[in-house]
Amino acid sequence: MLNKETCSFDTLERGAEYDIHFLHSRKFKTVTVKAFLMGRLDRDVEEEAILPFILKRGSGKYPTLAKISRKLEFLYGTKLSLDTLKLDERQIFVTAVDMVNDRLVPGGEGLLKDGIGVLNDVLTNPRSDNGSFPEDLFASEKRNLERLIRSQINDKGVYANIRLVEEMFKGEPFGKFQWGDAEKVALLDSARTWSFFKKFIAGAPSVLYVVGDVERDKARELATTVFDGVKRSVVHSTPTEGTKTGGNGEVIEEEQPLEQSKLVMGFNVERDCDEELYYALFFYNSILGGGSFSKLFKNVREKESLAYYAHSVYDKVKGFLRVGAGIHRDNFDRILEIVAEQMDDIVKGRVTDEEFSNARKALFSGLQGVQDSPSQLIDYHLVASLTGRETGLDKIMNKLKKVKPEHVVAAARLVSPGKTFFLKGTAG
Amino acid sequence: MVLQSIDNNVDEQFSTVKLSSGLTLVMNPKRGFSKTMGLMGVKFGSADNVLPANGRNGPRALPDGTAHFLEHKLFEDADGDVSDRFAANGALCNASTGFTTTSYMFSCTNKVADNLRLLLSFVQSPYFTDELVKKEQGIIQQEIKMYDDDPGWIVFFNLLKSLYREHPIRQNIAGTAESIAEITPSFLEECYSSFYRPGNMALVLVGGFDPNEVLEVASRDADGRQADQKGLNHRFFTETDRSIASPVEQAEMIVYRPKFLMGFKDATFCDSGRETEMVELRTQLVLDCLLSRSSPAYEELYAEDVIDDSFSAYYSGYGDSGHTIISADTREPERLKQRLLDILAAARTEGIEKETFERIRNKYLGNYVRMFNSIESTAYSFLGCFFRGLWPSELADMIREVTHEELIERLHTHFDPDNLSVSVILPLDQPE
Repeated sequence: MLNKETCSFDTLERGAEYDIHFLHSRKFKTVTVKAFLMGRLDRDVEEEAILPFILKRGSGKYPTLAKISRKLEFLYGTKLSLDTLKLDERQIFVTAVDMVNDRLVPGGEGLLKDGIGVLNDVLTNPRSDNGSFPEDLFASEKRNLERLIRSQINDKGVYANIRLVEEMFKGEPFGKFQWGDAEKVALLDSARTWSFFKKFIAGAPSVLYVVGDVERDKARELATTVFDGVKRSVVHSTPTEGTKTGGNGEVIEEEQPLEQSKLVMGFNVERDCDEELYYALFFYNSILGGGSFSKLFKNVREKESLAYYAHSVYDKVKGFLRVGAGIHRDNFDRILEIVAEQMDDIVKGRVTDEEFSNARKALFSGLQGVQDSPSQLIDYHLVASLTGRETGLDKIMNKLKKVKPEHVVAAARLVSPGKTFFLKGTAG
Repeated sequence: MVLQSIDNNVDEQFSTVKLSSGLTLVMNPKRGFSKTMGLMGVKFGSADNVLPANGRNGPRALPDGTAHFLEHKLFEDADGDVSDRFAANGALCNASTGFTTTSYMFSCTNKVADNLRLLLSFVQSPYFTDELVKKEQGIIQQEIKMYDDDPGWIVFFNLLKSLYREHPIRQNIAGTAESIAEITPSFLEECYSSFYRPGNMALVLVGGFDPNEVLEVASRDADGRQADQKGLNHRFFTETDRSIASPVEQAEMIVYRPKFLMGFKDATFCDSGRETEMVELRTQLVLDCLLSRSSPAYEELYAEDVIDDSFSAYYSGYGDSGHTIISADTREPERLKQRLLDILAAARTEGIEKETFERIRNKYLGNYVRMFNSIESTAYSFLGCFFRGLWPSELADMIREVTHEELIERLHTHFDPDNLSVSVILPLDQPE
């Protein structure tokens, strides 16, 4: 039998400037360095949202997109990414560099140093023009961000999810789209965004990750290079919590000439609860709509052939559960009925041994599978640390082992209706 | 069993075995990995739309969407849904149908042998009844409707319809509500026995498994099946005319900006899988040299605001056919088309710099090494090797063997403006 590694992060630093977590593993062909800079949703989010667009266009050493790309190609196709995430009440700026391990390619010496150097230059040394981002570049990326936001309508499933969150968390920070509002993007000012950037890069609480087959000291060196050249002075603050009103089962309907209607139902989940119940919620979601053995898949798709997909997704950081299905508009009432029946079944304890044990196995395989991917390892650790609960995969598995069916039944009472969004297709 | 090194530069090993039934087994056991993926593929896809002649009948046309329907239906047998049995082992299972192949997969972190037996058994034991076929029609109709609302899907198939005159890849993989209504259990049975033959299939395992155990399970299964060493070589694709069907295809949907796809139909006919792979590699290299983010053309088009991050260019080869697709969301489809034609024309005069070619090739070599981080990518790549008659160990060599001259030759022969079609989705005017 081949040996299976158990992966766990080692915290190299938990300092004033940033935290560094490192995971050493021989099994990966790459070395990944990823940085999360924590922003907030309780302010205008557009300035932070445009940063990935601007920064990817060029830096001091590599002043054009073509020059950055050529450098990355030369470094055996090193991948540089810049993105924006939304987690709980935070807007998070994410940047990562993913490099082939220098030992695996001919002439790879210096590859890691050069790769992290590109990320450092892009992050800390953007092109500027008299205390501002260059006007033409800024104007063009404003257009691109605005288009990205407006193009969300192209994918009907994505669009329905965005609209649900917007409606369910109206007036709350979490109701915002991670890329912001197109009209507000149009009003962004280059000089003001520049000064936001300077403050953000120096002051945003940040977490750095390194995963790959490198020595501990090398990992620390790579991580500390990320912010090299920036005088960090972190401003710690807690973003405003939402009010958690989140609705009461209201249905918001919108029509489009589509063949298929998209139904998304939002639910509030009380996440400040005892540990057993907290981990029991993972089971709850899995049993309800987490796979082909789930109640929704079995009843909506297999029993009544009403949909191709019917599932639930649980956001454990926010405490938000979403049920989704692509259906014919005439079946709207029937699907609502099935979802209510299935949720009620869990409340009443009607969970079979098979459902419970399938959920348990699926959760375990899922967690074990996380260990096979550098990016999943990093993302899982970050998300878990934002919940303030266990972050180690082994420890989480131990907690899950203790969950009993009665905990799942009790946890079901923590789930309450939010709002429902129905994108009604009028063509089919 | 002997494991051999895949490539000198990556620390990976593989083994390929032809089992007694004719099924090919490919294994890539990986140290330290938790997951194992089992992938079983058959050379039968949506484009195989003709049932070969048998003792009783001559060749017959199949309804569009038959391969995909068959894929759905294999998941159910007399004991119910196969997914339930995988779920009971803590495994995930899935399947997908392409133009020329269908594949079935599981992934798990334990009980590899049990899951493998299950995969081998359900893919090789068809069970079709009227009732189950009827039930599936409802589900697949919703799947088709989902694709019908997807502008990316529609713009793609509209392009294929304008590039090809008769070739079956013009047809939607899932078929239409009408075509799948024609499917009956006996149709599915005939299809199954014609195409799902061990010699026409491969089984790939990648991940943290024990290769001896897998070989034993797969061999035992193969010993109990009727042998078919030959497989099927004959395909019924028809497209003798190498010219395009129509230069433009246009539709309106709810999109924010126009969606633009420009396709070049290939005039090359490859008579081996290796040749198809080489043509694909060379063409993709040409496209990356000329149009990827590092190119002067990309920079110009971006500055002119006719393209953005949504821009991409790729080539797909099928042996008897193939096409390049250049794709973007753009406010000016007509202008983008013209600019791309100018760029390609200029490139034919100026050529491709050797340095550019070598830099991009470096990226390919890096991506090849990187592929082994992902069990899924590796498994699909190895299955692709089987379909094209390649050894997994040949992939890196092929990247190293490509020459600059071959790229230039490809640049001159493939991008013929007479073999060009454009497919556009325009925003639908909506009443406020």
